[in-house]
Amino acid sequence: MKSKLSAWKYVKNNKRTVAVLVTALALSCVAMYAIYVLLITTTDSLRPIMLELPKKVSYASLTGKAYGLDAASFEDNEAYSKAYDEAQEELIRKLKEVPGIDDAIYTQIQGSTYQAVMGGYSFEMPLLEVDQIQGFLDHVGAELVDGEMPKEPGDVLVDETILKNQEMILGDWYYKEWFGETFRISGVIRSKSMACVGVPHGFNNRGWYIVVYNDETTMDLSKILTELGIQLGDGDEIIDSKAYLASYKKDVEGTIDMVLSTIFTIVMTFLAILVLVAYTSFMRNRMNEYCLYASIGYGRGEIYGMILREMILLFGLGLGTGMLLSLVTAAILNALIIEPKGLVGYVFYGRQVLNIVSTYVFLMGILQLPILMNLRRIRTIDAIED
Amino acid sequence: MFEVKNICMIYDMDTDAKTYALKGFDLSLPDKGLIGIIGPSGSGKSTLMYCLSTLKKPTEGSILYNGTELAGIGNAQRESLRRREFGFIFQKHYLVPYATAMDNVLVAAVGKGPEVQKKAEEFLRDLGLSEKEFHKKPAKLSGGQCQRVAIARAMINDPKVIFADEPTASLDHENAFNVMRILKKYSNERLVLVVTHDRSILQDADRIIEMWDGEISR
Repeated sequence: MKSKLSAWKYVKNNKRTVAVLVTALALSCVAMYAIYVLLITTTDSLRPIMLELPKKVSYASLTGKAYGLDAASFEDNEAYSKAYDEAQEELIRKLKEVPGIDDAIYTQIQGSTYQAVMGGYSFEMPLLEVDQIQGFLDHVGAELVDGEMPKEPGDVLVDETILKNQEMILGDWYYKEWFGETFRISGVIRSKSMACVGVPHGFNNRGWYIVVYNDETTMDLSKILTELGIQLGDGDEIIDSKAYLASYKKDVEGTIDMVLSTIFTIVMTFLAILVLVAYTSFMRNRMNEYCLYASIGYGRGEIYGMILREMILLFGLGLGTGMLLSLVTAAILNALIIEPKGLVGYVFYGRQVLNIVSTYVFLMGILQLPILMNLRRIRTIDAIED
Repeated sequence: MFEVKNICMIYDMDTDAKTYALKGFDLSLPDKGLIGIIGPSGSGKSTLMYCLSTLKKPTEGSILYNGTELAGIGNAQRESLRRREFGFIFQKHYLVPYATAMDNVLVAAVGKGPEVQKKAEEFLRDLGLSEKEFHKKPAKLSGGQCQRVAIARAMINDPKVIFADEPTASLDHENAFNVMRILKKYSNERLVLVVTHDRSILQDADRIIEMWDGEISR
């Protein structure tokens, strides 16, 4: 069997140097993974509210123009209001006839919020009559898991994840810092879409909206309304899946992707510089060794092969150690930060593992530059002694 | 073994200050024996050795090694010759600092496996190193021990020619004669070329070539 230059010998006999490089690679891996784990919880956690809930509930606040009403053409405001109410009732009747829409109710809504690691999101919850609450729960697929159904004005049912996220408990005032002692958490519900619902309390609301109980086929409320003859304009507010999806892509995914890319680039640049400097110095210190190999008959290709195998071994060790530590770190982050906040998090993110592996392969590619430059400098011993 | 015809080595060819390290001479070397090449610094003795061992290419002239013209062969063939048929002992031992004595010998071995390992152990033992010293790194060995490891490295493939460039320069008297004794023994079957400026170590040489100013004077 033909012998070749061993890559393992250097690694085995230079533990200190190897440890420094492997540690740097491993810690960079952990940094890139941990940051990803923390930031990506934002997109994963907001998905139920922003993408799942609109598949069940949409909201519309329309101006008179949308109904084709011109205020100037009416005698007075009272006449205009009456025409508006009639047009709205007609619209609600038509909406209820659309296949895929279970109900449409004109009612107040209030705001709720969900805080991720990076930024939060406000979303709507309908304020319904007591006898309408069960219908809403049935439609969104929510079940009461603690407390009791609302009975009094101001009683609200809050999703258990929102409760955890906002550090509220059953019986607390709902968002007391915003609403004062107005809304009280009478019960805790659980659903896939993190829906919340309550009973109105006076005029403490975010506005009056047509609340539409849709499904996936009717979640584009703008389209449905247009088909029903509504002329949507600038003054009309439609909160449906399209609006949420646009917001999710731009405000959530777009922002997180940008932040992750920036951080990733910074870490990668730092790592590339560190590794380039370390490797250049490392190779320079071993030049006599390479010259010896050349003198006793090893070709440049064989020497390059050894250097490459060493690099793969070092990067492999760094990556392997880094990945192991990353998974442990992710588990810790999930246990200590993510889960207690009611956020969605995982330990293993395949996409990020792939990103990190690609980064390391790219770094190994960059390192070919100093390696090839130093290979050209290899001489036989006679040249050194000259 | 070697037939050298009109060998010339000129440095800085394109400048006015050309240096003639070898000035054109003929030389014939046998298949075995201890040949000493002696001369003062700058006489061209190391340059001659490097040309014979394919580490350098002469500017003019020819070197036939067992009938093969060395100037006409490619890099891969030159490397193969150095790997399989030549052994090198340099003035500084050039041992790999992080490798053990054993690994330093094995790095030059063409094959691998338990037989090669056993052969390396035999060489090191014959050269006076103990089993414990096999696993020591150069920093933990004396200068003489390091040079003996370098000799074992040079011999591991049973080369047809050993080129030793000032092999005793960094050794004390006793170690220097021990090394020359080993090389003399090896030269009974193979060719050993020793370049030196110290005549005293060549007392057992079969032939001494004296060089002066790029030419063979005797």
